[in-house]
Amino acid sequence: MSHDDRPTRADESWSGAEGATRGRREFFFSLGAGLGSVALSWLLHEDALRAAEAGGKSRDEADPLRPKPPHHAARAKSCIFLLMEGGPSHVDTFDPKPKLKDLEGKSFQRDEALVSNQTKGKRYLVSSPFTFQRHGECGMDVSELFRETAARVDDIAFVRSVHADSDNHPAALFQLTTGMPSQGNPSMGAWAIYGLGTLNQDLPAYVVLRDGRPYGGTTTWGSGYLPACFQGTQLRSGSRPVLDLEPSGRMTRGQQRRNLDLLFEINREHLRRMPRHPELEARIAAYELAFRMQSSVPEAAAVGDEPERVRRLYGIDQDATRAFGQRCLLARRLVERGVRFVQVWSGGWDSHDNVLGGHRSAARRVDRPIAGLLLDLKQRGLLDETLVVWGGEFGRTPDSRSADKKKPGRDHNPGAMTMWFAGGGVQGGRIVGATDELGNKAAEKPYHLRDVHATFLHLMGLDQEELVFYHGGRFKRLTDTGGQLVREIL
Amino acid sequence: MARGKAPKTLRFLLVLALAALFAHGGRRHGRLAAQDAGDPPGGEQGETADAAATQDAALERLLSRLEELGEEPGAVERLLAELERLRSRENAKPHWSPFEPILRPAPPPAVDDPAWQENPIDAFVLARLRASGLEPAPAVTRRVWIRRVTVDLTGLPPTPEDVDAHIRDPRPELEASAAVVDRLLASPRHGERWARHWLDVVRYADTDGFAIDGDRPTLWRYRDYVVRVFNEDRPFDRFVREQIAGDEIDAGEDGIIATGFFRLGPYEADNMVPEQRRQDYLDEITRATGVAFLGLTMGCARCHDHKYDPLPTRDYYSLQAFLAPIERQDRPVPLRGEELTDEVRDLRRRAAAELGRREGDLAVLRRWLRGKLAAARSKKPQEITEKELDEALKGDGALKGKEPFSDEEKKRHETLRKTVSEFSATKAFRGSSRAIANPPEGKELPRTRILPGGNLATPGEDVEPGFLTAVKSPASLVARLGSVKGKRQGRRALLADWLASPDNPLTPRVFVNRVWQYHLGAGIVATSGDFGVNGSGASHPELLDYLAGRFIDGGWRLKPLHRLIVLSRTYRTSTVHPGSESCEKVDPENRLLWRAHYRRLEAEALRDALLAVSGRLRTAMGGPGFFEEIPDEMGRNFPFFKWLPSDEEQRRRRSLYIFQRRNLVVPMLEAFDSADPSQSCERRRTSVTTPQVFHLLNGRFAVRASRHFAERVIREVGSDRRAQVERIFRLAFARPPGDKEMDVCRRLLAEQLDDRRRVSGADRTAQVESYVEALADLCLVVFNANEFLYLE
Repeated sequence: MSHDDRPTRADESWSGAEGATRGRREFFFSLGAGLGSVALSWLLHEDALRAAEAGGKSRDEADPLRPKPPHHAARAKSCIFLLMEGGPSHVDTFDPKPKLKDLEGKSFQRDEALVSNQTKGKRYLVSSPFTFQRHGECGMDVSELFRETAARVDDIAFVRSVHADSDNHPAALFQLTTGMPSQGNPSMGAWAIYGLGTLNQDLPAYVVLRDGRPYGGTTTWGSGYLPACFQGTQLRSGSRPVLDLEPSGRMTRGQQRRNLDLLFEINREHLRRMPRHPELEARIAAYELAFRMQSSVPEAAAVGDEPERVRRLYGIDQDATRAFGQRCLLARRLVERGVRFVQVWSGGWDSHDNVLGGHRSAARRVDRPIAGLLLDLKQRGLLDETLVVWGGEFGRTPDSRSADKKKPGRDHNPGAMTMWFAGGGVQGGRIVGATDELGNKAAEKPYHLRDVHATFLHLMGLDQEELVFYHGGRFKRLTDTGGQLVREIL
Repeated sequence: MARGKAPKTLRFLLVLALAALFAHGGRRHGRLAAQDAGDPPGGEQGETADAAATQDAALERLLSRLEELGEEPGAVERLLAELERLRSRENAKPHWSPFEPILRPAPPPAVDDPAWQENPIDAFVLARLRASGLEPAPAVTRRVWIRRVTVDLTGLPPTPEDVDAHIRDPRPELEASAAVVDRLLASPRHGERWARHWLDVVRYADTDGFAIDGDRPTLWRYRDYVVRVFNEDRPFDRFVREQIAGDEIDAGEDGIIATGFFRLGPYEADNMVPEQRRQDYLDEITRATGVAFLGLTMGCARCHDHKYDPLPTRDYYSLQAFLAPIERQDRPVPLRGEELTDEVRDLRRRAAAELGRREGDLAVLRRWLRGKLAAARSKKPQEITEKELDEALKGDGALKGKEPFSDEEKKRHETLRKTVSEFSATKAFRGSSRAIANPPEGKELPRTRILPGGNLATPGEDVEPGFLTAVKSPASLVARLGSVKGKRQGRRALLADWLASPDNPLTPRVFVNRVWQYHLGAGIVATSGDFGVNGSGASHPELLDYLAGRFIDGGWRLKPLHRLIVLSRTYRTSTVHPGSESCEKVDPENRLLWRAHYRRLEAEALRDALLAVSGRLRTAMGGPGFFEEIPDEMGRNFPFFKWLPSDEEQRRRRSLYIFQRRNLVVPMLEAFDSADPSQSCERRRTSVTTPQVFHLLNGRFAVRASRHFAERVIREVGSDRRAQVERIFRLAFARPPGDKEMDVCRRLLAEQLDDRRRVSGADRTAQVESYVEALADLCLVVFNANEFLYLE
């Protein structure tokens, strides 16, 4: 095979990429040192070239989800992202602030320019209504809300100094999941499978476990400007997890098989007349894959097949934890089968008026399932190769707009939040960074969400600066113009 | 070359490549590029040291990987050969800058091949091919051409009758083809097709996006305006002026509707930092203006001088200064004749009736509440004024705290009052338009300041409206800049005059290139949304200038341009080339058009084709968007909105008229790469995914269409199996089936019929049903075939 024919990482089978590749070449030649470009495109595509050399068929090369080698040795094969929608309060969960007890009820005025209307004006400091205790060898402080997760702190690295930019739910969710506080950008999972492909061709490479849609639609698991093959697939609970997976009521599997056989004959005849179009071959392959998925998806989603002991571990036997427990268990079954990225949602954290009640019930739903997931992954030897990330779109203010002590509320605070990481090569039992003494802003070793993203890519074996896609006149990446590794947890 | 050792030059190249790679990787990396180019290093010592360390580390990493590669025999040699090959190819390319004035080059001298002599486009294309030692693929048959051109000009497949008439047309090729093109250009379907392309570019959607995703109930008037413009072939310079400044120039009601251009993008209505919300809005419309008309990605210049294009940050904010006074405003524009279709009248009547019903409910409730209040205050009901009642309901009347109403009554009143005032269906027909206005006199005029790093917290220098400095602007326009300084009126009119000036090299080039792209599958500048240095450059710069010049000189009319392109021999070139392997060696990306690009129907064209082929398409034009069905599993209730599918008559209309919700794109369209309306879409991608399979094979829309298709075929040709298969192929593929295809299709029909009859039993109705279903099976297979989705 000649050098020319080899596909390259960015020069995929979708025709839209042709222009991109061309654009890039011109771009580098324009630097005035013509040849620099080629060294670069070699760099970018080296791995893909090798993979292609090792493989054989053009159709497989044209498959954008084919397995691709990482940029460097990966610590994690898969990632489970536990997405706490609404913004969990750090000072009530993983970041105790005893100082707030002393200042309880103290009022102050917040009036700076460019501050959200929500947190402007007269405010009252509010201490956490929850008690904290030290846990594990690392001595991590965890509030009573995460009593069961607390048993696993030595497997977890906590970063208490994460910060972001937007204090509006959708924009903040976009930033958490796509790096940018606007719509139209690829999500973390999309970048991961763009870079790495999938390990199991019979299942979607990137799965979202959530019923219904969040604010802002599917941006949070979309493929943005990447081709649609990289978007997350929503698996719903219930009997029909994937939209239109099964033939419609009027058709049996056998009848469908017959239809597909005819389709292959017609398509093969067409291909004979239209040779050398990998996209047409890829479409033929997609039909075979879809037919296989009709068995593989229900098999993977059959959480009911798990023994009672395991179901109890995830809290599926109890009403409060059933829904999230099922999602966590399903997440384990998926990564076990080679799914790259699973986004698992749970909401109810937006406690403006009542942190006490709101956070208690939101945490109640997830504490047992999260502890169960971590333990189960560990017992099965999966934790080493599975990165588990926990976080919401922002933290919350240590102050409230109301002086009502019975129902303290907290508003959005992108200036500080705690995120945690477990498995996938992360050093457990670490506590990184700190907020100021009130928990208002990240103070020591502040890490922007971009840094979290850079670290995520790094653990998956991807280099944030090499994983690029040409769009809108430039190479774009998950971490946009920045991103440094959270080295303390590696 | 020694294995495992990087040569010195390669080392240097890698540094350069690295610098380029990091151009967007933050300050420290950006600096590298400058240093390599010979600029003295600036900034603090620490930063430079940091940069050097990063550079060293990265270089080490690169070299170790190069050495790794060196372990493979011949790897480095191959790399160098590749370097050399690319360099020679790049060197052979004509130099071209989009910022230079448009020349009006003459076509190259006639070529020997008579088929390539008729149309000036062909002379340019053939000359480039020959210069690279390439021969073009043969021309396609009339049958293939008419499918191609019908989809390109109307977005719909040709009918078998159109195909047969063209094939049988005894006139010479060119004459026969011209007749087809004229018919298609005159069809109202043409404006709908090309409006869709434009809506991609201007990021059209009927809602705001972000959390609330609020409706824009009258924005459809902008969409219909675009359809009107393309159908009328209104001059493009006029189209530009209307969208930028329709309210400032004398453009009538269309001018107001056209300024909806500035209301199309995503808008974070609930951003709680008002200054930020405003700045985000201005940035959004500045970027949109840059990409839609100038084909430039201005986004980079928001934060820093563009690294590769001559676009300093000052230019970005000078452009923004033209737009800075804009106020978002809904302005009254009465519904005009063609907007008042029977459909709209009917919907309007129904909405009015519904509103009447709600108002009636409210009136009844108020009468009852008034009675209660009167009794409590020992008055007669007619003595209670409206105001008194309202105050009492709010609880801040004279007798505070002693109102005779229960909480439930107050709540019901509030809810009813809201459903009346917010009844969105009536808003959709109200004679207003999502538009903009200049701030009234007396209101402070917003300043435009350079924001280094795009950061609102650290504003820099003030700027006034100004044109891109990279373009040589006509003196008469430059002279007018002073007159809009500090003024609230006339800024956008001046910007519009500059954008639509025949001396502006970008606007016409960018638009003509888009037209070329939609017809040929790739632009002359392949990155049609980026004419800058980062873009692809032009494959045929003289041809682009020739077309742009002809476009301007012909009064900026689009239809003659379409005609010229689709009647060329270039457009007729086949996708299949007998010597494609050797051509690919010379021009792997087919930029020189030695064959035609293979193209898939866009999401909307696919949905429209399903409707058209199954005989269900309704061609009613315009009006408020309809709601397509979405799968039941997705539910109906979403945060802040409901999704209630429109009735079936509405859902048989073209995809252009689907209500475009930013936060819920119709899943089937989304799966087939419809444009994400949050960013300008320069070109549709064609990814291949399994959800596409599920939609087209199992989805309700496709399955229902296959059933309709089967019923249509039975209606048209009766029960003869051969005739049925023949009709299906002609409708879907614009050709009759081959012998082998006929056999396999008939075999499928027989087998599916047997199988279905075995299941359904001997009941007469069930037997008939099985017969139709078996035919629907074949129809479904045809909808899923590559040939149906792709243009040859």
